[in-house]
Amino acid sequence: MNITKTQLFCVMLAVFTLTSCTHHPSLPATYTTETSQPDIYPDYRDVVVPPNIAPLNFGIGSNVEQCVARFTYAGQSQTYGSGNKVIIDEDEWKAMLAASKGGDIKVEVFTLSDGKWTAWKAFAIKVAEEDIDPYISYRLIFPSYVAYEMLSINQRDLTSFDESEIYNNFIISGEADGQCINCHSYQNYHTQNMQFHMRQGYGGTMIVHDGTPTKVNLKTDSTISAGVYPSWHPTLSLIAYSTNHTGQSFHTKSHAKIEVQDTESDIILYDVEKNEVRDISALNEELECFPTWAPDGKTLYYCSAHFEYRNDSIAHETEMIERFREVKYDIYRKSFDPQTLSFGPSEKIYEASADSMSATFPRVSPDGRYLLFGRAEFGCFHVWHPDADLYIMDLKTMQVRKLENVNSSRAESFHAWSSNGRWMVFISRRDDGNYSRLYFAYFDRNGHAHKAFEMPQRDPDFYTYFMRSYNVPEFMAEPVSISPQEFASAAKKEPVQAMFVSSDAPKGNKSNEDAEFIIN
Amino acid sequence: MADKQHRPTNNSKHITARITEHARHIVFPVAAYIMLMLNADYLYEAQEHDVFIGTKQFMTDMLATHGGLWALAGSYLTQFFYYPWLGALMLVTVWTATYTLLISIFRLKGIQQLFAWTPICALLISILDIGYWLYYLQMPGYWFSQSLSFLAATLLTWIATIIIRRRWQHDISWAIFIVAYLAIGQQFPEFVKASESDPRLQIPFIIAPAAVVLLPLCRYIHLPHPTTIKDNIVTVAALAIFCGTARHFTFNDSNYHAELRMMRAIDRSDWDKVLAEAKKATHPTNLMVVYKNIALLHTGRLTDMFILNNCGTHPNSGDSLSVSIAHQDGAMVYYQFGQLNYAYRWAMENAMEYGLKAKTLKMYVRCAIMNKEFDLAAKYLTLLHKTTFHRRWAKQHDPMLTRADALYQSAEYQAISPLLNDDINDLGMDDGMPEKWLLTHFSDIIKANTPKLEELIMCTALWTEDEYAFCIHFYNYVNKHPHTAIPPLYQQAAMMLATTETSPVTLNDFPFDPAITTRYNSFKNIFSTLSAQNIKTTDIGQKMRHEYGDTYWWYYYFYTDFNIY
Repeated sequence: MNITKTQLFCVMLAVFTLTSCTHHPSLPATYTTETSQPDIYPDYRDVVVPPNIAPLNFGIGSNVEQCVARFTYAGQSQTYGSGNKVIIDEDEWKAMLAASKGGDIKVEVFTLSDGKWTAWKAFAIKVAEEDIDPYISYRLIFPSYVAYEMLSINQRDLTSFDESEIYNNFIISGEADGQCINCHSYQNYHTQNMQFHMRQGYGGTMIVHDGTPTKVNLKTDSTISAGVYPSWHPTLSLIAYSTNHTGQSFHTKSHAKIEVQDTESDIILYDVEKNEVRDISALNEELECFPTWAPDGKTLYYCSAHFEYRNDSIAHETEMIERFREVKYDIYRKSFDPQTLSFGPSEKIYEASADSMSATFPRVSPDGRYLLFGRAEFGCFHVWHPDADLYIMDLKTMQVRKLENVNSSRAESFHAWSSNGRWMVFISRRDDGNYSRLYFAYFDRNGHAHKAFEMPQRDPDFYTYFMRSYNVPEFMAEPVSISPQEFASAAKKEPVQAMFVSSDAPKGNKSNEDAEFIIN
Repeated sequence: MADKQHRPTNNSKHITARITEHARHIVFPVAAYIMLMLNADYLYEAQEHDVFIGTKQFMTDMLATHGGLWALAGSYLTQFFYYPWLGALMLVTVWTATYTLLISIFRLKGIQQLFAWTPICALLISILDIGYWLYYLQMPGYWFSQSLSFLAATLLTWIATIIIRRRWQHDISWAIFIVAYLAIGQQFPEFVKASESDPRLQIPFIIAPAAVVLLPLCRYIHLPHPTTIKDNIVTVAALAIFCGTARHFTFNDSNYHAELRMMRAIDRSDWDKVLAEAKKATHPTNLMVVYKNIALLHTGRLTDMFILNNCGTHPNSGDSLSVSIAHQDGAMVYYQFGQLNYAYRWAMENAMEYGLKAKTLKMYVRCAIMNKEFDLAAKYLTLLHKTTFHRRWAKQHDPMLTRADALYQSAEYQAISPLLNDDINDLGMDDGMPEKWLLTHFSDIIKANTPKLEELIMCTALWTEDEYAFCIHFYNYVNKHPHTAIPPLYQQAAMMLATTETSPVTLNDFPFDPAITTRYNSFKNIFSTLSAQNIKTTDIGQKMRHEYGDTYWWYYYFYTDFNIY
């Protein structure tokens, strides 16, 4: 029997088509009814999701032999389930979301254990009207201490499961000249102007300006360090940075495990086009940090802790370790004149220290109405603090409240707003206390945050097996188009040295009372 | 008729020759197997220092690295060293297959075949010579990956010769092999740790392929007037060279092997085995001393710490490598002293620097369970369930996540939990020296909530020769236990430290055991007498060791080489 190439192709196509079809299992004929909702992982029960998010695949306990989930939406329904996982076809999911925009998808889960089927109480997935930014980038890092290995900054298409590396530290560095990469950020969600840091091997700050990467050395004789925590001005070629002298130490008992502290820190402004650095705030007894621009570019928010060293006989690092619980950050802001590049006086807008708390990492919503920040008992690096929670300040009323639906009993930190202000992303260690994961929460027009959901993955078991943490998530309007190799080429070059320009920024000792107090 | 008469003789010679030929194929693998099994303790630790997790993610991550396929295959087979005899058998099988292919590729006959064992000898040495680099290897599956890639290159060469089927193919087989070896995607091993490296350990990986290149020349080697006896003599000589060379390059330091055995015993809470090893050691390393004291601590006999040799030495790791307890087994050391965060930290640090290991995952589980971070423990246990040989360990620990009685009644919890009650959360750093940090930490603790912690506090003050701390602790101890017999060790130390003018407490009226007092006076007299003879202190120590080596006095005066690493 002769088989033509065409026949062979048709057979192969048929086999491929048949094997690639999504399995839609039948519902069990008989089952007992359970009044509680199923325990699914990730927890997507009663969450609000954007209409352009990737499928919310989930798994059910390992003791489940078989499961079926029926998704009912806009008068239609479809079933999914294989083993103890519910894997949804991407195209069918997109159609489901499109049909459910502004409405609910009802999910009924049936599980088979010990030969008996159980029908669990249904839950809803509410589909919001507003999209989420299609891309997000984050750093992947082992939850390590001093040593580190295999760091990468990745970007993920949130509408699918596609992920790629923006840069990783193994491209040009080896064991002897290990390279740490961190703190990526973008100008107004766009990737043509972006930056990230490289430390140790081939160190410098990678500044991408109009799509061209250049490595810059931001450390000058007049600044504490190179730039650390960045914030691009929304419209101008300016980046506000903190400069920090940072140390790390370890708890013997606390689940926090790691404490990251600044012994000194200031805030600087970097003019990308002129390659100039100037002080924004450099007070001796203030630990200024985490600058962030308001969306209109006319106000700079930041944190600062008042800390006076008392003991000249020991190193500042040692004293800071001994008095670590005393470091409490408040939130300040300064007006900014884009014409003259000058800043107004500092204005304290939230005095967390008055409540014996510490507020960090302020981020202003794109409409300028809300200030999202982290709060914990002490310190600046809340990502390891189990008590770290997200709070929000209404900049209209200056009222502060905790985001009850969003927080957990474990650390929440590194938060960011989507470009439309309807979504927030943050990292949380709620899964297991140790590995930080990305969570998204819907923030409605009334200023209420809804139950957060974990970034979906193709395999629901992904997070169980994944041994790296996510941090510094940043939304992006489009992916970074510069390849890791292009970044590597730029990184191999000698850095361009930034020049320090003196400014009239406040320097030297300043009592805390000088700052205008707005709200407690 | 004459032919018939000679046939039995010829048959006999033929059979003898065949036996000789087979023996040549068999004795070398047997020798290699024995050499490996002589290092069974090391092979077991090799699989503890590696891991193969049967998940798609693990495999994808591994395959994404340079030489990942071989690392993955190597890790898969390395896990069989959990039973050293089994892993060794598999490794020898790989080598024998390589040998068989080599003699086929190069058409080696008779004694020519012996040369095909040269690359195998190099590969055997590459397994046995790494010594303390075991703790610093950054090559997953190292123990099999190089042999597997070598076999693969040989197999490709063999297939090429089958396909080519030309007379000249054997003259270029070496070139085919080299091309295959280079193209196979294996990473050339590097023994690098920060600024240290040991190129000496790379030599076997140069010799192995180089030997293959030279194998075609072996076809021109023939014995003059070959006989079976001559063949046998040459074979025996080659075997002696094979074994002698491998033995010469094997890392045979007795402390190194004792540490490995103690490491395994500690992992299984086999305190008797730990103490048996400690008794055998004449010049133990600091780590062995720490292990010994851990065993004593958990058997309630820490006050016997100076009866067994407590004088640690630096490990003999060779010139090219500085060894640290933190890297060797810092996590386990911290864990056994109840310092869970530091244990977890060092497990993580070492995993970052030198790769994830089975023992790392188990340490993660242990710390998480003892810290009552059950979600975290569940994550790591899930991974261990995906391993071939550690799933049983995981299964034993599963109930501790859900049943309090399973946790509280476990031997490990009962051993560790009394040390968790110091109620102190310190913030600090250990500068990479667990032994120093632990001694300082415990000797500085003011208040002990459990008898075990109290014993540890007092003994670490003596261990680190912190007279001031011990005197305070002893004073508190005596007042706290007015009706309890004071252990001889405490009396020995108090007699010497707390009766001096500089002592922060007064113990002149303390009723010391007269026998101990007499012995101390005798110690002082002999010491004074020998000192008056201008004998060097170290020599005095040697003279007095036999009689007083089990006392704290001897340790205090004569152990002057406390070199923490």
